[in-house]
Amino acid sequence: MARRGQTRAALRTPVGVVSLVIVAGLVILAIVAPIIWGEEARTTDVPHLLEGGSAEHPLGTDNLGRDLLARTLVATRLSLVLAILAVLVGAVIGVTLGALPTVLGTRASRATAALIDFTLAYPGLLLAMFLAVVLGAGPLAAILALGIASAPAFARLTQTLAASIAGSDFVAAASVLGLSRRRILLRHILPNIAEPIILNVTIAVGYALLAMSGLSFLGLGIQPPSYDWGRLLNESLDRIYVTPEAALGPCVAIVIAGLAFNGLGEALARAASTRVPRHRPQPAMAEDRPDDVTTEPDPSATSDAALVVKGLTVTFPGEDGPIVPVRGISFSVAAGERVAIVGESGSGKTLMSLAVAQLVPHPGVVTVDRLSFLGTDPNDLPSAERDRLLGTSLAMVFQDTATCLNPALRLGVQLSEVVEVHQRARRTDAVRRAVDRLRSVRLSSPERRLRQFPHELSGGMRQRVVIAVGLMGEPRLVIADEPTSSLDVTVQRQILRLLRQVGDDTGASCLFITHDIAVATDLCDRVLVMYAGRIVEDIDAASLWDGPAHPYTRALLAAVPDLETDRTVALTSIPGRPPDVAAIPPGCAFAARCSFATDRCHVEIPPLQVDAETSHRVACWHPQQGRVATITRTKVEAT
Amino acid sequence: MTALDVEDLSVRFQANGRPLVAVDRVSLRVPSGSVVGLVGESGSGKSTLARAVVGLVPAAGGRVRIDDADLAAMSASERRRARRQVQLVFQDPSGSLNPRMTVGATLAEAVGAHERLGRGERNDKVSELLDLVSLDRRLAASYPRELSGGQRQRVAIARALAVRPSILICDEITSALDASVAGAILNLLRDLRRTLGLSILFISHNLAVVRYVSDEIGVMYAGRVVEFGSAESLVRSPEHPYTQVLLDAVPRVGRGDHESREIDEQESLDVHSLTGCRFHPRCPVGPFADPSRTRCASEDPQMEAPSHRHLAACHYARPAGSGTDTNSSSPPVDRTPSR
Repeated sequence: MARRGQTRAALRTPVGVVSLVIVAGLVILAIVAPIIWGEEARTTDVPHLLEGGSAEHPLGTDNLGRDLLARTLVATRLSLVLAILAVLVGAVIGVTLGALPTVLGTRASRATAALIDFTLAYPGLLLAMFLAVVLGAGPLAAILALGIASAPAFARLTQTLAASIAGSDFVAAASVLGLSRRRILLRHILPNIAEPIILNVTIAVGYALLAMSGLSFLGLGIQPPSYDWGRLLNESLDRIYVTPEAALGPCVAIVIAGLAFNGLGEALARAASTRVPRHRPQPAMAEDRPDDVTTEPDPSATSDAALVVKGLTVTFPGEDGPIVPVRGISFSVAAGERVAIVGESGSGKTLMSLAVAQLVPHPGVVTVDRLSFLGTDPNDLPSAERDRLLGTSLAMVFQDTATCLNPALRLGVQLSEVVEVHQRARRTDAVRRAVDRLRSVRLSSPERRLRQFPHELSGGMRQRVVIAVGLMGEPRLVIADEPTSSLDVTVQRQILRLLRQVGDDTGASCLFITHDIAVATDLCDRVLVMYAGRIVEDIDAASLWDGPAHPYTRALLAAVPDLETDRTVALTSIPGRPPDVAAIPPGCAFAARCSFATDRCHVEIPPLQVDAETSHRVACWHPQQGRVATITRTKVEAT
Repeated sequence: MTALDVEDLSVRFQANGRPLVAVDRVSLRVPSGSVVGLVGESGSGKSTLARAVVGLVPAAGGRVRIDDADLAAMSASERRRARRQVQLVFQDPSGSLNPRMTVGATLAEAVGAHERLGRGERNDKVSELLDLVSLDRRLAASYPRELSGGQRQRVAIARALAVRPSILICDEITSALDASVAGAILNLLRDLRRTLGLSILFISHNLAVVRYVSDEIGVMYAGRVVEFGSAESLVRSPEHPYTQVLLDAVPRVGRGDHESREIDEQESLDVHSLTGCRFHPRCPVGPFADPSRTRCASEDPQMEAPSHRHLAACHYARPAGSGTDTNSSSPPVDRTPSR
């Protein structure tokens, strides 16, 4: 299984391997040591009392002449068993206590939470010592004392984890189904929080070893004639200046075992956090090589184009050969033109825009036959100049306004940063420009905004600020990636209008990426439809109305209801799902979902062909004509 | 066939130490076998209303009736059984399915919540449910992460149907899906309504989607229903200025840029504590556009008495039928107050 493989890979780090080996060694030692050295550890040797290290007794002997090395090795079993039992007691009490709030009613759960808070405030080791004194000396008391003392930490962890899962929709759904709270806890909450709890149990064993040794050392834990490492340390400490090697054995054992359990826990935790949550792409169905990617023709490139892209390909290394999410795309954006890229998730539209901005994340590789931004290829420039060109002439606007502004910085700093870095503008000039740009995105009282933090603004206002940041340079191209998808429709409308106005005022071109074909036509002059990493249609926004040629574009139009859709007729739906980027079939990628597909479509990739007159491009063996039939649109005319 | 009645339902939260009325005395009826849509912006209280109806958040006032039986008047076990008749489908299908349970286990658990069955019978039911939402039976062995978004949403719908509910509440069920998949889910919902005779409360921010699936539509703003009417009449002749703004904002293919009423985004404005109409600071025909309309800022508009099915809570609501399209620029007609 993939998960297990990943755990194994994470454990293969140096810390993971060493810890795992030591822990395994300790476990073996705990099992075999009493059998092998048990006799020797018990044998008294009266002539050799309290001796230092010698060839016969490497770590010396104790007050009855017993070999200390053998005793240290034999003590492994008791030390480990005590620590593990103490942790288990703590985990059982803690997890139960921490899980209670999700099962109990409001009032009882508040009381439990308060109890956890109260016990957490008390230092764990102090609590353990106090309990050990109260419960009396002996192993059972020590286990209970340490277990109870470590329970609050487990309780808090469980409570926090359970609360986050309890807030999820699947728990809500289970409760709407009328399932009992107990069942919800056992079936839905505990399995989803088990992993971090098990990790913490592992780490806690290391701490428990230390704490248990501490208790025994203080004379509160194990009592003679039994002995663990703490007890051995206690017995040999009073002669540490005479025979230091006598104390060395238990000391080293405690340190090594403690570190090993901690290291193992850390390695497991890292394995859990690096685990990829999604399933991996299935192996490619077809032999898929980047060299089958052909460059699309693009006739519309004019000399004054803001952006010309030819044969843009983005490749990621995959387990079963390279994955090519963007496959030889060619298009251009004229100066002042607004072009929409429409596609569903996984169509490669965002990666394509990142490639244009030179922002494709590692380990992606971008290859391009020709890239021209304002007449120059950014790749030909020295890196400082390239950054300057892209930093001032290209503006990026992203979907998630909450993350593309730094929450800890005032807006003024984030706005002026751009011009201070790239144009070496003076502070006052930068601020003046910031005020001007905020005004141009129609934010009220811009001077006051400069001192505000992002969280003080609503989503739509943050998006305006992001656009203002883009305008701080002198953008010739604005790349907007789903800038309105997380906004309300009324706000979306304003942001679209703002983008249009920015284009009109500055003459900047716009590359607008969206999944919503209706929004695309609202803003843009031209629409590029992407499917499985390729452009399948390039059409004037106005012509979309009269019917696009590609069956996918037509299906997209018909699948989305608008205010005039006939309510008595079912929506056109596209069967199946978009192909996995790791397994794009040969031929037309849409063929499997297309009702017009023939054998040829499954074998041969349709080239993106240009209509010389209209410069309408379409990649289809069976282009369609006419308005999209299932939608009976009547254009709304103002009366 | 079952009807759902919500009467004067209120939900209060504590937000930053201040009380917030997220749902403010909302009354709504989903007649037996019909689909009622609920639209509004984020924060309008539509999802909270849904959660209050199924009991996920406590209601501060008002009542919920299922087929004229008041939930509040029932014993706890009766209420549990009655509540099971109302199922909720969530927006994000990846969050609403337990990642550690297979599709089959999720559905079997839901079936088990409804009736005690043997293993074989339960597996049969799971297969039936998968058929119902047009999923391959073999998917029962899959985990949610192995499914596409549309398939997950179908599983979520199947789970809701497992207890044979008569009322389904759909909270933004297509918002997280790709366009090509969302249409298929809407079609599925239409089919289910017809074949199972479900009554549906359909919540979405997308007015075009709501119009397509609903018989009647309620428009929510700041915790209240401000307009209610049949889908066609509400879309064709909206009475409340907010509804008109919402309609203008719907993007349409082939329309391009057009003149439309726009409203300012609400700043950190606390709409819930405003006096008068809660929409008045943003209203394109309210006191900021027409200074003579001072009563908007002082007097809280009520819904008209239910003499006809199209209602609007606005002092200057345009009576139904006076306009025929959404782009009409004729000013709303002053209507004499009913009180």
